[in-house]
Amino acid sequence: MGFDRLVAAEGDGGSVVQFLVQGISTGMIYALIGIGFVLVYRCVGLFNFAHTESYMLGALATFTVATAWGLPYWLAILVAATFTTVVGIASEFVAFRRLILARSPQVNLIIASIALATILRALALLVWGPDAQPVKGYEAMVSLGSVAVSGQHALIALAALCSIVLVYWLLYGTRLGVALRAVADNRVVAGLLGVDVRVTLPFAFGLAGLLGGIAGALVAPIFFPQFRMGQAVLVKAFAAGVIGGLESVPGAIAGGLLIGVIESIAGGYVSSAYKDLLAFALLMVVLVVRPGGIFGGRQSEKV
Amino acid sequence: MALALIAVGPWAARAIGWRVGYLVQVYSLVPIWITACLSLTVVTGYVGQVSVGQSALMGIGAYTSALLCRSGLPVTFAVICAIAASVVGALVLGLPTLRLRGPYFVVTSLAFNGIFYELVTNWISVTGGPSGVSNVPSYGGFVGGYVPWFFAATLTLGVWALGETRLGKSMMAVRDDEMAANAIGLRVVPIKSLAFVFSGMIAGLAGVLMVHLVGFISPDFFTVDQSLLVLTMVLLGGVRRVEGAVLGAILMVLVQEAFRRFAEVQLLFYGLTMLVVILFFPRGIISLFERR
Repeated sequence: MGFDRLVAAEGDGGSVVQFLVQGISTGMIYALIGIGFVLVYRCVGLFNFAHTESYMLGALATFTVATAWGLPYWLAILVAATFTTVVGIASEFVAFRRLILARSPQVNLIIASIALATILRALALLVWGPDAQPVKGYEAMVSLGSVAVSGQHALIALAALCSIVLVYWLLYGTRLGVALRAVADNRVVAGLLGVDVRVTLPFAFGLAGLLGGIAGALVAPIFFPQFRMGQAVLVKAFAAGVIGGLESVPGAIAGGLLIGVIESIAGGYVSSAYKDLLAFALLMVVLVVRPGGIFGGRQSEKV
Repeated sequence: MALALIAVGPWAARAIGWRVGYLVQVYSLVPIWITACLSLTVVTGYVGQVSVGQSALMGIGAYTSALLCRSGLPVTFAVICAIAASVVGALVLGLPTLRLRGPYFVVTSLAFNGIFYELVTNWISVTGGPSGVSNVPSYGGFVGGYVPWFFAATLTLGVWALGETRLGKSMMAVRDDEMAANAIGLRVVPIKSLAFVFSGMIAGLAGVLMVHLVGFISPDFFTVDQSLLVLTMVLLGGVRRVEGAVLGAILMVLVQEAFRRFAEVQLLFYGLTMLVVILFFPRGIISLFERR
């Protein structure tokens, strides 16, 4: 289990442009999730394994609002994003705060996040059941020059871009964002200068949850949402982060796009059966050859 | 007390004659889980790398042994090959982590487990696909029940002894502070590699014991959830000591049997157990009995 191929609405073969558009839109999704990883990783040195579960919860919440309640898709995106933001903040409070403030070893934080991921996945299984659920998105085709591409893919790319702009504004244009970046640079000094970690940490987790939820809501019409989809995307989003160096937001975006495009083109021209293997192979190669990421410096020891 | 139970157990189950096969099965699964837990004690408890791919290592051993046996090779040869295959698997898994710390091993082990599952499910011509491999020679019967216990006991002693040696202490030094360990002249890469070798060996043996006990395997024995179960067991008992592995495995098997009817909540139970343990007593139940 864990790696069920949930790719349902692949385009019916076709041109390089279609594969590129699909690759970029999927890559933007990996990028959104990757940014969430990077934000939390920079702040507390925790790679939050529960983070992709917010993507899963966002997608399933979209199903509930859009399909089960029959409300419009855009409203479903808003509800899903709000929901996962709350889950993010709550998870920091329940699972991590105690460990972070006690400066527990990193291993303990990792285990807590694995536990939280398992709990969220199990709860989703209890609430939504094991089956993949359908969501109706934006179905029209959009013409791009002479080629028609799926409107949902275009919408994903556009909405993800807007979310990334929103993240940059939050990080660079608000007081809370400045505080967050200060904590990421040096938690001790930031604390001495009066930044309250009990405010910035929920902010980081909430923002990560928000991005995960948006990503989930956006892919819901393409991948039928199911309780395992968070675990399935984890390796790819992580690979995206590693390629960028796990410490930089632009790196995560570039890594996500790279993985998305490679995957889409390889899936289109070689075989979609080996898509998951591809991300894993890429991850292993980058880790062995350039552990600091393609864009990072030569930083082989991350102790 | 425990020894007496182990000695009398299979005989008692037979004497009562009540759901014999089933009880014997559950009872002899305990040492297999203990063995699986010990493989995590080495890699997580001693060297500090959290693995969520342990069941894939078990699976490599189990499938190798089962397939070689079925093709008519002698069992001893099959078992040796199986353990060697698991060691190779563990080394591949550990390769990127030799120079890195932190989340990397968790993700590679997760991906490793996922790919192993996909592979054995889809490579139908060799592995039999989702229906698995059946008619594997098993060591059942009266004496058979003791075979896994023998190995579990030997390995428990072995892993405990490893923790007492210079090598074991070096592993713990790497776990506690890799930079400091390096600075005092410990060679971190060989130490970590050895830990992966031991862990792969033990996990492979657990898989071998399992397949030759049950006589049948399918991909569903080796999911990520099974790896999470092993991790939960070790954490519950106490990840840094062999007693923890033994205690955790026994407790979780008992709990699982008690709640067998509520399969849907099992995953939730694993997660909650892990979270409570890591938040409130990160060294496991065994630490409650330690003198301060």
